[in-house]
Amino acid sequence: MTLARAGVAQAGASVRRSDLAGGLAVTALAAVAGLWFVPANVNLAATAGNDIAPAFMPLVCVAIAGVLGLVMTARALLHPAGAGGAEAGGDEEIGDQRPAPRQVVADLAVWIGSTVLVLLLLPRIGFVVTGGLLLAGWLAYAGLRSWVVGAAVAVTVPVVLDWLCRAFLHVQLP
Amino acid sequence: MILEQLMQGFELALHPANLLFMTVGVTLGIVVGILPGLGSVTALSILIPVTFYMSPMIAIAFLVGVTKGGTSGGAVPAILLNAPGTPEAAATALDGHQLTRQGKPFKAMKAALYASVCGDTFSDIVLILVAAPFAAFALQFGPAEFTAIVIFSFTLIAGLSGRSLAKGIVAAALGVFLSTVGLDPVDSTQRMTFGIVELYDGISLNALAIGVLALSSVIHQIFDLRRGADRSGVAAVVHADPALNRLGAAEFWGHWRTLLRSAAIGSGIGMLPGLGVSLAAFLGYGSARRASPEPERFGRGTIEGVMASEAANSAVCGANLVPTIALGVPGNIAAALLIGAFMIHGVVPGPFMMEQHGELIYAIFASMLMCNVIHLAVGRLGIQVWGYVTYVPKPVILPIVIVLCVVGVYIPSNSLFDVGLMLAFAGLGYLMRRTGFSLVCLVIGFLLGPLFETSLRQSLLMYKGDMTILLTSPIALFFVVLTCFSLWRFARRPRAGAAGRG
Repeated sequence: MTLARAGVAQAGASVRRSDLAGGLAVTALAAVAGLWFVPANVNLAATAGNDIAPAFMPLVCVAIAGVLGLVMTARALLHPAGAGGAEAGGDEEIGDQRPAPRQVVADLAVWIGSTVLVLLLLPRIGFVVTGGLLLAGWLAYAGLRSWVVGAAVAVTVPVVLDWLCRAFLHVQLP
Repeated sequence: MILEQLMQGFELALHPANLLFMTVGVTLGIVVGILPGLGSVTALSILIPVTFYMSPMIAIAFLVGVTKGGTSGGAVPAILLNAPGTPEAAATALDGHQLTRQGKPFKAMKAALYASVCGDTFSDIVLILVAAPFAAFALQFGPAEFTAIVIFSFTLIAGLSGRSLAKGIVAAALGVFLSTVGLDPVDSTQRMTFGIVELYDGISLNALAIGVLALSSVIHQIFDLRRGADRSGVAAVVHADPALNRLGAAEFWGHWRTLLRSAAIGSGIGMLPGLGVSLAAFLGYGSARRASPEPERFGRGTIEGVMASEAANSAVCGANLVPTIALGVPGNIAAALLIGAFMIHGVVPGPFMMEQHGELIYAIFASMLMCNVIHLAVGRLGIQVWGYVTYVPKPVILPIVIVLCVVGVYIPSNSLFDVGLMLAFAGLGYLMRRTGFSLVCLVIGFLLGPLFETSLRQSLLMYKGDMTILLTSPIALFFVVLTCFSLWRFARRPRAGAAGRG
């Protein structure tokens, strides 16, 4: 029972830390966007005959996010860890299991690496080869053990998709 | 009048190509709904670009078929494996899997299919009867009213789709912010385009929707598979005694009150923005159990439980097009994607849609009704086959979807820039999933952003910056009061209770 309570308290503290980090990140990003990014990239002055500047809506969004970021930070700081925990979040329909932040960063690094590779390879060696390599990599990463099935899928899927696009949609994939 | 227009709609919808694509759509929807980790939202996201080459009627009918098939397809793994293919089928698993354990998997699947078709048909009839009067009423709305409605929709969706109101509103604000990229709608100056020509028309809806909804879900599951956190997708062999698996008409229609009640609940929930399909399924199931003289049978394998949840979740499909068609405000994420599809085909959802594209809308209504018949036929014919689709392992399916997403974004735009955007949005979506920010709010914010900005700026210009118009127009005031009430309710929501929801 005590162990279970300790587990709940630990999970609550972890969620609270995550919410605190989220709140601080939202506030910081909103500050950067409001003070530098939007003013540098959107016209702040209204044109003649128009009372409202093009930057109006982006700045409204940034202001809302900034205020709510501060609210999230304050709630995470003021709410006691443990019982009840800090606010969870996410889509009910999507689910929100939370691995350790280190794992999330590692996952994102893998995804960014894959994205960079795809964007570098697609215009140079084309869709069929890039698609095959992408598939082979992700099939292995997802834990497919049979290399025969993996190779068959990695070869067949891009070739069939390329053919379908050419034959039926008249679209030339890169 | 409605009947006459509907008959004209049937004349258009009975085109062989339309029937063919509806059949393909329903079949694809069922298969994708059954496949582990996918669902009708993923299927819709990937298939919208493919419809670029179809006529608007065929495209929308095809996508409606995918949605209908996807919603009922999720029931198959819920019944056979106790692993719902879609979140809305979770309530179906409660009794459906018990029936499988009693050796009645086909009886459960038949009950789910028939109930799903009944719920869908009821909901479509509600849509046909209600959409035109709603749209006529909405014609009285001006910019102030639309501003108030959109703000209310954001509040409702942010409060209901996630467990944190603050995170939901931040996600919606990010969506609106992203929708402002491109040329300013009033004076056409560039906003955050960095001189990139592809951004002049704004961020591509396909890139954002596919990246954030479909691809981020796929990579989320692949990373879970890698860590061994995801243990679903273990296939079951289906051997069943035919005698135990018969479902007679008397047995099915004996539960007509449950069917009607669940269909009404699903339709009501579908008409309100932000309320999920899962909620409809659980409310339908819960109300059937409360109304039953033998509530203790629920959860132990009764077809009434399967019928209640399936009729309710399927009844959301048609009804959520009521606010979509009447106001241009999506009822849920599937309707939001359908708005995107309408816009790709030059049809702007909203009160003028019935006036400007009445023929098309009634053809779509007719297609939706025909889709239910096709759904019944395809679902019944394939009932012996669907069980085997659950054998396809996740490590094979998920990487294939990554490649499909790349192709899906490239097809309409022929642009590697959009592929890059989609991959970047997938990373953002993954981060948002892991940190608890609602993706539904982000996408709906992005979709409603232009309507929100235009109506707010028009209101400010027309009333010289005096926003008290929101309090003097009765309709706007009504939605402002609803917004304040919703904010108050969601802000007071107990945290522990909220965490336990769903």
